[in-house]
Amino acid sequence: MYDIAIIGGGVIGCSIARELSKYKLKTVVLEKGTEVCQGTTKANSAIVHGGYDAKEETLKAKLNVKGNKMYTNLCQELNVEFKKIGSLVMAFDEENMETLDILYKRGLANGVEGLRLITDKNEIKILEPNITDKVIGVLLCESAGVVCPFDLNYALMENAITNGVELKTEHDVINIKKEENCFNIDTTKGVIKSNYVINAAGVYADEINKMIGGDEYYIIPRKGEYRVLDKSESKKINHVLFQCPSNKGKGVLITPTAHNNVLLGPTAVEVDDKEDISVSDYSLEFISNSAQKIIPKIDALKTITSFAGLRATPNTREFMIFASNKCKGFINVGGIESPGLTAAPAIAEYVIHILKNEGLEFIENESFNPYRKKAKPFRNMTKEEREEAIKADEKYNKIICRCEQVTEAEILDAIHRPAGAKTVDGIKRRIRPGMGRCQGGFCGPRVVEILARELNISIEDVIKDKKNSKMILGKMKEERKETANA
Amino acid sequence: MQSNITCIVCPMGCRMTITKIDDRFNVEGNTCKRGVKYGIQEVTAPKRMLTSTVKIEGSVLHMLPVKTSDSVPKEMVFDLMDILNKVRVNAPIKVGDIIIEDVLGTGVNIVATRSIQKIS
Repeated sequence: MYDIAIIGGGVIGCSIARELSKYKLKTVVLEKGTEVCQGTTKANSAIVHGGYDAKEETLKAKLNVKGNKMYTNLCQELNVEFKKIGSLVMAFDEENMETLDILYKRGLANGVEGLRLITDKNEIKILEPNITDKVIGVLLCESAGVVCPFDLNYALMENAITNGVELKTEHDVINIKKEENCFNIDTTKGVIKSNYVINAAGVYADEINKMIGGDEYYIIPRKGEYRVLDKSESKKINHVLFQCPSNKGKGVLITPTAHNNVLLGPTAVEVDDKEDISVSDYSLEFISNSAQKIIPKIDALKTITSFAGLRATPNTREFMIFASNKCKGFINVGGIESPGLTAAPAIAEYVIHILKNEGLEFIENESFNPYRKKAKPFRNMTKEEREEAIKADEKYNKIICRCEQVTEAEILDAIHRPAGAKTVDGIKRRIRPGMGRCQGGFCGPRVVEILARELNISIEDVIKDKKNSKMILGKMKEERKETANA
Repeated sequence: MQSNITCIVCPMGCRMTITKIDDRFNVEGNTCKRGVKYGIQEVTAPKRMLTSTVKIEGSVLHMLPVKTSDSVPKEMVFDLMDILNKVRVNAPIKVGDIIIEDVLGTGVNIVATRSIQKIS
């Protein structure tokens, strides 16, 4: 019997989990995937927004600004890469300039720090040397930045586990029934009982809400497709670069990532299928054309991969964070689209606040440890640090991923931590093998071998990310029980 | 009957037209006499070379590359692959070793295209 069950192990669910671990409560995270961070959190722009975009007085605006202010400290505690590089919204004509003015005033009203309107072309060129000459003004926000959303998700869950939270993966919620003060959560791996339920189920949040009779919102999955550019392009850009927003969203942007790649995108396409994360040729072309308008020198041909994520856009266009009045003890945290990643730490605190109002008793956990330790990546070590690391652990002497210089020691660490990697993509998102130029061509088979050995499973049972995503179907020239199309 | 084909004998890749008049063939578009021979063969009884691998035990690699010693009827290729998929050979192998003699009654052999040592 748990005090709280959180449905969804994305950045929102795990932020709430970590916040709850500061108190003496029995908390469990129910994640339907094979690991946490397999939904929207693994496919977004990774931007920590300033907070001038969301309308004044909205929950989105308040939690965006509050969350932004918490990021530096949070990422320091959890040892997550956060780069406060600042953002520029660009104006190309008078209409854009009016929009910039609106955003500037909105930002000030929302309490955003580090905002400045700049129309001096020389100053703009100093900030961003490769920006198009067609820019006539920018809104600079110094408090914006980029983060590694995967690492943040994993770090939050890991720290929550360290502080007493349980994680149950492959627990897909099928039904929820309330009996007196207890929720019976029926999952694919058995029934979980809890006094409170927090619905942080991303694009499926409306379906979870429906299980207890809730209908306050529905989710319209809106796909965003991206191009990822090779690290060699990152020297062409200093800030997160936005075009003027429209009612469709913030538009195609160019941004450096926390690990020095460049993202071009996203598109904004409504889809019916909540599992449709395909990338279309049309979108790829649209993205590179849009990007060229911002930084003419950017080379879209240096694309090393593309991906898509689904925004959990609610029909209400506002964060749906409230205690259900259809079923006491059920807290919705739905419709978390942009600026969800930025707002995550603030959303967690807000949920605590809601739970307090619902009557849950909060006693502080004196042994709460806010820190997640993580060794410096081998690729960032100096020659002396590398020699020391190898002396202490010889597995540092074996490079598995050549493109990103990742050693076997780091892979073993990623697997054996709390909420550790169980899949090929899990290794990829934690420490980067498969994210470099060769996209897993060299390291792929080696990572599969290591996973099989460390998880004590056969090579044929190693999966890429989702449950039936086998990497290897069988030995060559032998009878196969299933084919690639099964 | 008229066929337009691309000759595969050499990298020139001549676009040829083969026409049948009565019971004789006329080849146009070739640059050499090998093309004539290929063109007529292709429209009467097409043949193919097959290069593939067979499973090998007792060596550091698990697959041994092989080829047909001569071309075989095109329609036999899939049956030939079914046979190759069931072959098991043991190391050591020398390049040129005959793995299967006179496969499927074609008079063609399957030969190893590399040597490989036995591991203890």
